[in-house]
Amino acid sequence: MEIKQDKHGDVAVLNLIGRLDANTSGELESVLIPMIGEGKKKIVLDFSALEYISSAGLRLLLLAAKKLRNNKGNIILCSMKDFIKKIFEISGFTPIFKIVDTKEAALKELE
Amino acid sequence: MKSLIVHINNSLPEIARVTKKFEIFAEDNSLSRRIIYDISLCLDELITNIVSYGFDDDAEHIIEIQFHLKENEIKLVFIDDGIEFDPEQKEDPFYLKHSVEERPIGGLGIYLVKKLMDIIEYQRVEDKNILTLTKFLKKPN
Repeated sequence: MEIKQDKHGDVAVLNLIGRLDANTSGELESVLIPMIGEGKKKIVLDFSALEYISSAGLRLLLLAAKKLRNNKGNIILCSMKDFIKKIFEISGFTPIFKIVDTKEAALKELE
Repeated sequence: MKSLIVHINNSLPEIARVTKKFEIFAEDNSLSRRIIYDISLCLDELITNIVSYGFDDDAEHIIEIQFHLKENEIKLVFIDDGIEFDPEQKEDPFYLKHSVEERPIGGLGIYLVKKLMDIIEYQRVEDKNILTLTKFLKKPN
């Protein structure tokens, strides 16, 4: 997978491109977890180009959410495709994560 | 009925190879993107599980995966000679409604497979696990 990083003020935006599975979740983990460790409190994950997520990807997202919660930080997911949203619903992840339609809406939430 | 049979060895990179073969089979037979996505996820989760937990030796093992497509359903059959494992006996995660703080990490793979597929049948035959999964295809209106 490819990860594009972008900054909007104090918000970090990670654009995830491709597949988030057992093979690739390590790549996102190596960006996301240190970011939280360094005290980043506002993170947007842009799912517009994410084509696939498996339980390994879900596992990493929950780990990140837990770490952010400890720091009183906030993570927002945006532009999620329908078939990925279905996986979130089955997994009971929709009440845990704030999910919005667009990146702009995500940035507004974190203002 | 149209069928595809793929043999892989017990290593994680094989998931990509069988998924690619399935995708070509699916596209040749005009399966919807949603069905392709659901089946690919099941392949990923089940093979990861078999490869990671199914064998207690270092030997190479062959896993057979069959796809059988009929008008209204697709059936997947997984055959391996690993440790007995019946996904139906695995309890669903109890923590789906727990908060971020309370929720343990992981344990979702088999649960996703059970939710995405319509019928799951398990047999243990002559030291082999035979797992058959059926997904109904929506009839075109």
